[in-house]
Amino acid sequence: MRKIYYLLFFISAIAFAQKGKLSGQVSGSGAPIPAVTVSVPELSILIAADENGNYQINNIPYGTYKVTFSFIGFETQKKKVTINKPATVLNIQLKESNTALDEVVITGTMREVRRADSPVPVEIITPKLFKKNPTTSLFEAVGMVNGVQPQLNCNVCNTGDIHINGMEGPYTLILIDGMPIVSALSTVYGLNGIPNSLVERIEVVKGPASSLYGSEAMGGIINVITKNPDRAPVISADSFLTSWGELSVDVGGKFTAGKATSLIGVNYFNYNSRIDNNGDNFTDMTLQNRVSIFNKWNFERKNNRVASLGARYVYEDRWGGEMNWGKQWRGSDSIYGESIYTKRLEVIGLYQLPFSESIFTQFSYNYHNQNSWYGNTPYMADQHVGFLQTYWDKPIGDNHTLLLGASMRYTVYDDNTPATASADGTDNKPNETPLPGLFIQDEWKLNEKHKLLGGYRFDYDKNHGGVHSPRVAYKFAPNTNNTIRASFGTGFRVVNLFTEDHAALTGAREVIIAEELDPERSYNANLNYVLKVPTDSFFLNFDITGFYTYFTNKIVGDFDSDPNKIIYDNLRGHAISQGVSLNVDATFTFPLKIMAGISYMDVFQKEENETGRLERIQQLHAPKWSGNFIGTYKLPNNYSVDVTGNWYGPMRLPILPNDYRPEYSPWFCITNIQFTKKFDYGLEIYTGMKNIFDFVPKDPIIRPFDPFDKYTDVNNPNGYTFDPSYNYASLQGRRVFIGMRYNLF
Amino acid sequence: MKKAQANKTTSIKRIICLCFLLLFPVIGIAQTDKTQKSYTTSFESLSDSINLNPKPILIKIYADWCAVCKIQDKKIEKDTAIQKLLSEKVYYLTLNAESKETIVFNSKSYSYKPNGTKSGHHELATLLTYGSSEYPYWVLLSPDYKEMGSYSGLLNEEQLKKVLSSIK
Repeated sequence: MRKIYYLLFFISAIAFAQKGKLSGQVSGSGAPIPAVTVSVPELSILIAADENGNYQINNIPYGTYKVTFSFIGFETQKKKVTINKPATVLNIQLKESNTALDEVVITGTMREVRRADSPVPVEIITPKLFKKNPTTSLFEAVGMVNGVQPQLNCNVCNTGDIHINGMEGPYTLILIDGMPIVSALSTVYGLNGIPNSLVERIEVVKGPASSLYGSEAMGGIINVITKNPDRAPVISADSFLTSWGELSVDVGGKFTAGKATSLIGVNYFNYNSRIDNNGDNFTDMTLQNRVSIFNKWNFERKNNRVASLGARYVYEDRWGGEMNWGKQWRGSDSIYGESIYTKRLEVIGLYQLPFSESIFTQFSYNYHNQNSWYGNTPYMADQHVGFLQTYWDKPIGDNHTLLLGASMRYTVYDDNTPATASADGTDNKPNETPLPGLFIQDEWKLNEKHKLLGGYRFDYDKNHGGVHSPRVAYKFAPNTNNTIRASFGTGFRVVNLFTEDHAALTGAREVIIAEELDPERSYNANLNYVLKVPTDSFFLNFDITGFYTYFTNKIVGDFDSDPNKIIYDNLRGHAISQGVSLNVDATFTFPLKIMAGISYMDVFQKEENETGRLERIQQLHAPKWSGNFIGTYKLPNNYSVDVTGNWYGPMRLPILPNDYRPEYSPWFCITNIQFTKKFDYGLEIYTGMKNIFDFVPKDPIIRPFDPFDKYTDVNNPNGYTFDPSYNYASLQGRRVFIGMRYNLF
Repeated sequence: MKKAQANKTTSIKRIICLCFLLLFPVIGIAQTDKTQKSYTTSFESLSDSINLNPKPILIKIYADWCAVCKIQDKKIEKDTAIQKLLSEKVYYLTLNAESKETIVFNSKSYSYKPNGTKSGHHELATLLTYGSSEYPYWVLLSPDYKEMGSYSGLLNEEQLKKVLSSIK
């Protein structure tokens, strides 16, 4: 039929030799509208205007036609036009349709949190999530993920670690591009100064992952994937200021030099207000001045092969303490302050070898230097970590993906404590840990519905000998809406002389590592079910995980048995982290998006007491119930509102004997709200309020008036000593913020 | 001691029970796998079809993780009038923006372009969306593969009908 139509048109075109041209511009609201559909039904003509709204139809036989201009969001216009001369101009103004004016376009953009396709349960978090509640560091930002809890351990210096499913920070391995470069010493402040403009996405595995990543991946991993300069915006900026005087500036840009693309960025954070709202004469939040510079290069190579090289440098000066502290009191015992200078340098690289097979070499080096005084106790430490890894990604047939690799991690750690000195205390003896490993993994696609993954890793440590880490994971997806993952994984951690109890270490001590010292180990079983419920008016995504992890062989340094020795030995007993977590994600046909998570977990240790019996000890800072929520509503004219929050049930806290403070924290919720207005050309202004219900914990410091324990025998019947470790939430109360983002593509 | 042991066992049991309970909906909700719908055209057959019967091409670009795209699909699946319009007015194709398959389109071959080790985009999707990753992304092409219009976002039933009906 249509062919006949064209044919007829062709014949008529020949018959009427006289033809004219129709052209013009389509605009609306004062600006040209690109890609408007222009149609002449009688002639079977359907074209689109170009990006400037211009259109042109040639060879129209003389006559009168109805021309239709239509575009989504605008009222369709029909015009009668008579073609009786060679060129006719018809400019059109389209009116925005009323329905469109109040309508917000619903699009699916990068999901904030999603699950990787792999049988291993991996959650992928995009920076979009973190924009819903702007934070000054990645450390704070990861708290928006259900089951991940950034925990401050000190109310003066704001040292923190990241707990996954209730386990302490040393059991969380933090990786950058899959490389373990934020470990031991650097975990304390290493996550500060990773700028948002460098982050492509973050992958979180809750549960051990040593079969791929080796030592320290015992409780979970956080893998920061850096941006590919090719896909980064030409210029990006994100900066905000809070009513507490926190200023965060993040600027990035890219340029091309020959076959290389370079991404360069600067991140600056400054907080210099001495605020003491609880009146204990101590700063409520640690004052900080931090600058971080990074540069990443991507090299274009033959056959899409990958090569990249990046470097990052961080300098931070932070202090907390008595309100009248100044640099001149650093290390003195008259006015208490904790002052920490951190210098950190990282180099990371990835190179795909020039073979037809996919073989990659990754390397990294980082240097971390901490120069600190906690009151009158100095702590000076250096850490070097070198890492080299080569792996071969080999698909075999259609159904197997084999990963075969070898890695070497070399850690040198040195501090001013007897832990890294010779037995007589006269010579320095840095601790060196070479850790070679081999790993193999196969992902086997049994058929469209079943996938099986097996992995195994062998590491060799000089203290422990060979360490084996197997893993098995299975994924069953009967259809697109249901997925089940069952996995078993193992983790380990080699002995680590870095200790946060450095204050207790004085005098010359001999470091004794017990014979047959076993590495710390973890065994985990994980069952995950993802259910998608798509309908024509909403989409729900349920993601539920049951987990059970058994931790054993905890290594502790014994400072008390012999004052001349530090004895590292395995603790008799074990720890268990078990629970269920649920995440719900809802999308609607109106511009509302809701995400909520809830976790129930029971985390405890079983330690041998004096009588040799195992005693149950509830894990510190591990609430049984916790959860998060994120709601986003888009309003017309590119306004949007985000409400975010985290809530926690009671968690056990470190208290002193006869402490007047409760052993368990109250239920509490930190809620934030943000309003954003997006302008054209990539500009965004945002403002909001953090901690809108002004929740602030009480009594963070015991005996703040005697930080050097000089008068503990005066009027102190319970024998309290200065202690700033009673912490379960930030001391920052309600505050407003305002900021802007700019992205030029 | 015994009590603690018992407590531990019950709490593990509880977790296991919970997990199993959760598995049950799988059986209830399990449904037939979505295959090619009658109103969609495959990339393989497009060029033959277009030679035989020239019609505009409507491509919906989506991603597996895109919830809005799934709502969009449900809207189309429920509305036979839209399905009729889709099969009559245009060649309706769907393109997964992160598909790893090589697609021949307008006699040119397009493939998946990795970005780093785990993520990437299909070249054809990048070409058609000008690099946007807001889905669903609609592209309307003339029978000779010229772009006639594009739109990113959810289209409700009325909008879809209107757009499709206006195509002659």
